[in-house]
Amino acid sequence: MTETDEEIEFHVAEATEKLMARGLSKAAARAEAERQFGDRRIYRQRLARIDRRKARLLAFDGLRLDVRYAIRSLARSPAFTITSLVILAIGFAATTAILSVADAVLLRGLPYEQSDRLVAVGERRDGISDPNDPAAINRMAPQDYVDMVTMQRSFSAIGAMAAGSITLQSSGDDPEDILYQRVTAGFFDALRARPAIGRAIVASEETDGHQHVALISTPLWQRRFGGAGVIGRTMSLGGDRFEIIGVMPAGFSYPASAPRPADVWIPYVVPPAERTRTSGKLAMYLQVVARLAPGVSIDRARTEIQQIASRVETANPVWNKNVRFGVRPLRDHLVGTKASMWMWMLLGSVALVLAVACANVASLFLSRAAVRSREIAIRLALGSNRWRIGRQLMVEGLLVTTAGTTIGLVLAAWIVDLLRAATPEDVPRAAAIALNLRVVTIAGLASVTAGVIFGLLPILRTARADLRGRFNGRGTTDSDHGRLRKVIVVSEIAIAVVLVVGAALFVGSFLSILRLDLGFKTDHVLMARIAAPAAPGQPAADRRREFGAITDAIDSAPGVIDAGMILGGAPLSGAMSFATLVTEATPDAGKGVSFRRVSPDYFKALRIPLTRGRFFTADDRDGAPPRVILNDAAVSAYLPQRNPIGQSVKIDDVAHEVVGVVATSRQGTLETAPRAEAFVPLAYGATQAGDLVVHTDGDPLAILPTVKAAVAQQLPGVPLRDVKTMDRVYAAVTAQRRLNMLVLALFGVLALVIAAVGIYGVMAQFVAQRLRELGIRMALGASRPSVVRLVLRSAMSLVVTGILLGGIAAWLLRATVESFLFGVRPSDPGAFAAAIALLAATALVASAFPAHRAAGLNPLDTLRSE
Amino acid sequence: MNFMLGTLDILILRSLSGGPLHGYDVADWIKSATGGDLEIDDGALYTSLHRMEQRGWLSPKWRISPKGRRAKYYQLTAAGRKQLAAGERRWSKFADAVARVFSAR
Repeated sequence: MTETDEEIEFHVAEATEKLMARGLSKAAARAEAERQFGDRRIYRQRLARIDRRKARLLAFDGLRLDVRYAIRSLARSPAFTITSLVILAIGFAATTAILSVADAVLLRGLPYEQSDRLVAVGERRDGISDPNDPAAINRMAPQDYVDMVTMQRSFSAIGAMAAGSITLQSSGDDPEDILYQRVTAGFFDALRARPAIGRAIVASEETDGHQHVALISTPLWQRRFGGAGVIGRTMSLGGDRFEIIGVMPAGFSYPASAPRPADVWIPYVVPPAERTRTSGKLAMYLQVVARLAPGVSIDRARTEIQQIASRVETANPVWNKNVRFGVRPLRDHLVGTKASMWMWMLLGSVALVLAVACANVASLFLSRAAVRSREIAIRLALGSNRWRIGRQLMVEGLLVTTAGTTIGLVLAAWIVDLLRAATPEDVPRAAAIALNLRVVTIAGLASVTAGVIFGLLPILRTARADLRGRFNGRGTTDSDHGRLRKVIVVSEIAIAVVLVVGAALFVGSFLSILRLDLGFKTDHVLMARIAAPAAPGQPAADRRREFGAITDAIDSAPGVIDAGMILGGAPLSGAMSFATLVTEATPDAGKGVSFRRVSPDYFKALRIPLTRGRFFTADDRDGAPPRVILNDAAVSAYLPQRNPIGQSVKIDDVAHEVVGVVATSRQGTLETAPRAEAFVPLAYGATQAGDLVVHTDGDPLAILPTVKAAVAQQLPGVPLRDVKTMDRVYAAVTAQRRLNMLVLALFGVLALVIAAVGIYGVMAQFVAQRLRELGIRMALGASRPSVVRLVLRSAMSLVVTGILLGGIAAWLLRATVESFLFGVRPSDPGAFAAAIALLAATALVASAFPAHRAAGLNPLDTLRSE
Repeated sequence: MNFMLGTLDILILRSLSGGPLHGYDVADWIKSATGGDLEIDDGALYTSLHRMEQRGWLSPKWRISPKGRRAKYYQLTAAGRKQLAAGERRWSKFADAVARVFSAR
């Protein structure tokens, strides 16, 4: 019977009695009372509805009360609250951010139909492919691609792509530099990408005379053609006319989500010079994508492709010497071994950080539970409802974890932006990196679970423990829970050692990079690229006269110290070209030297010192005998122990006289050892593109108008590309290292802070538990220093164990970081020593506070307090 | 109808202004106070009681009645008192207005 039923029953009974007092029979009185009440069924329903509403409101009120109570209780222990919040926020921020990036880059498939059947095909050549990454494949030379395609049976579709930039002009609009891709018809077939409007490129258009058709991207269609009908219209690419045959769907790009997607696709025609294998002429630039035929496994395809490589080598024993072909899942190829290893390493580190963070918060809640178990026991004894106390504690836990997670997510959004900006451009989906909803959901669920568990710790403990024990004073000693906290602290210290060793190694690598002698100066140097290419398939116009005039004009402008130009790869651009160098001493040293063409003042602009002979002059031009400048590295490799000046060397089978030797510098990439290099005068051959290098006496960017004017005068309509200062270039090539170092250092510091909090917590508890013992010792004459020593000794036993375990773990993990280091060995004793010293110092400071507190005790107070 | 319900609420609040009563006593008080002229179900009285309880105007308490039975007593809360005062003002204003209309004839 509900209370309402009871209430109604009472009413009717009272009324019946009153009526009977007036003389009615019992039955008549009862009937009259019921009549006066009305339809009992209807009223019961109405009353039930009202009561339900009341219950709901009460529950809500209760929750509000619980929240208010929890806030008050958390505010009473600000150290606990703030520490938990900070640790949770940092832990969740780091995890969600790194997981978001990994999810975008590593875990999700590529946005092409059945992308797990897509593979990249490439080749590996001695001296070019990275020997440390045997799975990696390089782009293909057209000669090899053509042979491979005609022989292969493993793929249902295969295509090649060459990327570049070109000047676009349509219907009187301003010329615009765009990215374009030359593709074979099979390229889109393999990706199963079809135009949204119009038709695709067909195989018959991959031939001279038929290649003047173009597909455009949806953004370009909107921007340049207003989204109107474009099929059949023409546009000019690099001065040549192309008919638009179709528009690719919005969002299509290769690689997927490229930060700067290509806007135009035109047919790829193998250039005549690359239809035969000419000694010394090798260009590997085709990106090959293939779709595995139904039923063909990637291993079978790999075996077949490797057999084809052997057959090609047999047919072309010199040109294809030791050339291997390789097949790799497209996603692995695009992400790259190193990037994915880096990502997994970050994930590992972040998992460690989160583990210590959670362990620490759990440990904080545990110690709070110990303090509160007495309060809870009292409340239970006073008749408080276990469920109600549990709910309050849960609300407290949830409040801390949700607040921590919310702050963490805000931080994560910010970190993700940073990471996206720092991800190399050719990583697929780089632009799609964003705080991931799935990851956020997982984080949210984890947070709720953690909140419930953390919150319920005290009541679970009280449930287990014997209530009376709680009242007998030291409700806070609980040996198995103390042991658990010690295990937590030892593992925190161990993890911190691992992360700090890692951080130290990365800091060391970065310092090694900064200490590198580039061999040239980066300050006060402006870089810009001039490219006046011919349209694809058209004979190239020679621009060397104009380039000469441009450098001369800039060189003589006020504010300019030296102006030079280089062909074959600007310094630190990573672009390189090679030639074979043969001398009498080294007749078959066919390994190849880095080979560039430079204007007379190039070395002066970069302040690369001349060690012997002379620089080039204006007289070193076409028609003059071939001359070459070598760097010191080339001299010691090819012309050891004699005066190189005046010697004759063969470069790509042409005899050159050595006229000068310059100091060795890192022209190609920062982190590869300086190479043997040969430089010939820029004026020796035809050219369409080159990189300007201008040394100024003031801000290099201030000279830009002068440079633009000089270019405009000689080559009207040709834009300057890639304008930047050499300092910027240097900052950009060191940015990845800087980021790696910062991320690892951040993890290291986090782990350190968390471990310090853990040590402090355990030691503070140690002192709190032994107040009485310490009091007695001091009353019996123990000196303050001896009390401090007692506390520190017990702290150090934890710290030493943690450091030992962490050191061993870091030693075992050293192979995982090896490939990311530069100039530092993964077992670097300095890094280990630094990490251990840092940990020990942190631990000492963290336990010094409780020790100091113990020493400051008044023995009488501690004895009286119980 | 609203008018009637509002009226009933005020009558109940008034009945409780002297101290806590259970539902039957409230009904009895209203019947005698109005001379039995107000014909409503006793059930309607309870919906009114429960609603005002939910609004926090009344606080209920189970007690043993003088006759030894468990009964639910209602007591005015501070909010209930405020409602009663406001209701009485509204009512006398309304009654004055109606009286003026009739006397103006």
